[in-house]
Amino acid sequence: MRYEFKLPDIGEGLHEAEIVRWFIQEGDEVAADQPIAEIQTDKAMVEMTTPVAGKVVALAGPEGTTVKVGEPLIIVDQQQSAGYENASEKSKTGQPKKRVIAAPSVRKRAREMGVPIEEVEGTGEGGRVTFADLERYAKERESASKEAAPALEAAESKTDRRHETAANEERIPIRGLRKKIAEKMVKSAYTAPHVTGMDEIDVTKLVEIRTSLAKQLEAEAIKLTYLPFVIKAVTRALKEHPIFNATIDEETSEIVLKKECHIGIATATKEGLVVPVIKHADRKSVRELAVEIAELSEKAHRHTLRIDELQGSTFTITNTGANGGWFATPIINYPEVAILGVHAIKRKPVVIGEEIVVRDMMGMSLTFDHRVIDGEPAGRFMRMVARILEHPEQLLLDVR
Amino acid sequence: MFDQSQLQFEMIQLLDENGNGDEKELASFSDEFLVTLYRWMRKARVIDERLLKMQRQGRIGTYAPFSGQEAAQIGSVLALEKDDWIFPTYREIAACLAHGLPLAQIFRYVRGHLSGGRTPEHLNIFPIQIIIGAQTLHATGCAWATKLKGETQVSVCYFGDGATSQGDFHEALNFASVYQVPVIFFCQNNQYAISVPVHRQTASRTIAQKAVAYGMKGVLVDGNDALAVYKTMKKAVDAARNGEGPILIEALTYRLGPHTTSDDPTKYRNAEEAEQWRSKKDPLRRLRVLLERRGIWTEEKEEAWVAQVNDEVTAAYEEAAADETGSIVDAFNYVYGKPSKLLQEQQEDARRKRKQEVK
Repeated sequence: MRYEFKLPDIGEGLHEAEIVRWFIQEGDEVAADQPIAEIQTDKAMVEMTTPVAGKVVALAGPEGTTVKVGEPLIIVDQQQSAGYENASEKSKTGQPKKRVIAAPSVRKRAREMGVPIEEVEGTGEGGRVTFADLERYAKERESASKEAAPALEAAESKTDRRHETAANEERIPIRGLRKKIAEKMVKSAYTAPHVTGMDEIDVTKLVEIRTSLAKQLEAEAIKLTYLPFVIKAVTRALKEHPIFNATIDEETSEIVLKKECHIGIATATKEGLVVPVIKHADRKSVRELAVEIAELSEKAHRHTLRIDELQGSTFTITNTGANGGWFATPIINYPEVAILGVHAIKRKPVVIGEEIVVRDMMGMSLTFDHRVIDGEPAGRFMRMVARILEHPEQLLLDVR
Repeated sequence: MFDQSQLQFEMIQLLDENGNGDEKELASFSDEFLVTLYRWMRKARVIDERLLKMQRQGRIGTYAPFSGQEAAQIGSVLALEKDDWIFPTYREIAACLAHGLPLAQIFRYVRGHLSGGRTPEHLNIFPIQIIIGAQTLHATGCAWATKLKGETQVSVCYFGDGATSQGDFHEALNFASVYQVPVIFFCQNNQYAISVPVHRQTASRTIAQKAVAYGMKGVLVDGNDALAVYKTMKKAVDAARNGEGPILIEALTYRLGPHTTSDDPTKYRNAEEAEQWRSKKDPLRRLRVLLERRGIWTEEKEEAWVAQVNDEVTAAYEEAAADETGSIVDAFNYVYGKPSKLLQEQQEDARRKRKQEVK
């Protein structure tokens, strides 16, 4: 009989958990109550045990996989069950991976030290691995690696790198959000041929308008940044240049022009980059955009964004802010076809007519997928965005 | 001016961390008693570990593990008469079992069955208290009642270090001492109230010394030394039964696991500290050393006992799991002997909502 062990709500109101480490693999015989995995919930690192005995026929995924509450963590074939007592006997002898007895805190420390805990001999009660055992193992390992012949070291260096460098390095596993970001960036950068165009824009007028409006909105406790104006300019330009409001369908080799305009806003959080989405950004006023940006940003920092608030963008803007440099080469939020970077605003001397004057200048970068967009249309798109930001009063023309 | 440094509460200990102690003192405990004591403690540990696993398997609800506090709970309960009253909190599963609560009933409680809150008729165990410190008043009231009725039972109130910051605790101690009622306030100082360490909980050097303020006796005992706990409790209960008034016992111990299954103690406790209590200071270990030295316990006996308890746990779980959990509609029947009008209305409301849900 197939038994699906579904991830229960082991906290109070838990939604999902990440598999940090498997103690078993597919094909293993497990006994009831045998530890199978360590998982990380939003509250704690937790050791999971299987409620039934049998043969493991499927795991939820590799380490690092996020499992939702109610989804199967493992699937066990109970027909081949060895029962409570027998299976635990078997696990002592026949297990490919040794069952380690150790407190979660010790396991955690082992991971931090880069020590494979199943190789550590436990001297605690019933073979329990203790902190002292970890220290001893690490010391032995260090002296062993020192004594080893250089040739041997070189030969082993690839497979055993973790062991030898543990002392002078810190190794941080790429997991969770970081892993997702990494995967997305690789997919984008190695799929779409990226070209970035750059320009600087005279935003002196915009600075004036923003400063004045921001003061007026202060009374309503609304924080007005430059971003709502950038979004207005971009959505206006997207209407004229629909090829930028598109995605690529690789399977059918088609460009999918999007009829709706949902703008992704690249947002930095402590854990990494997330891109909440402003739906129908073209239909929203500067005030509405300001409020929504503040809400999404707040949610991003508290990790309370819903999945639908992170999906469906058709074009993405990344605002690197005052400290982010003058230009950048943003990576496209794949499968979109372009991304706009807006950067610091600086007081700079510029030539107007025959005179050198001081103006507020802003750097801007547009990365586009050269498979579907050429340099010429990209230049026109940038000019249009620039023109609106240089003459923000143009936005009045579209107010209904 | 009087300073607390002038108070000396020496911690009573009969069995040190290595299972050694004054031979004459230790000889006063019979082999039979020692084995019973140890079996209970080992049984409690096995049950606690199984319950924790079962929570992770989604078989029971939120659970508050007690591992590490077996000596304090079992040692104190075994010093009681069968009809003495105990007032447990959610962490006193071991104390409840040793005082006679069937294991299946524990399962009904942790699975959230309505019947899980009920104590079988013949047992003097108050319902498990979740409100921190509230049971100190219930115990005082119960002890007062037994005194007024001329009965001989002693009331034993269990609580933790965190509860000593509650107003209820101070009211209960004051009242109990003024009226000289037969109640034992048994504080398991496991050193953390969820994440608050005891030195942030109270500026007193000991919890035991708080008794002095209320004019009652206070005792500090090594809560991981089952023999010291038993002896201290026995003396206290005898005194209370003799009409000598209430006593505050502080049993210094340590919770090895999380506060509840929703807690991660590694966030607020030093890993080395926890490991020390888990290995060197473990309450089961030192007693087992003594038993083995006396030749009354072996590895074979241990294995057989653990296997037997495991079977018992499985059987008790299955017994409870086969029961009806009871619905929200039934819950109203257990509030008052005779339900009030308001309660009946609420029950009707619940019944209607329930029907809608079923549809």
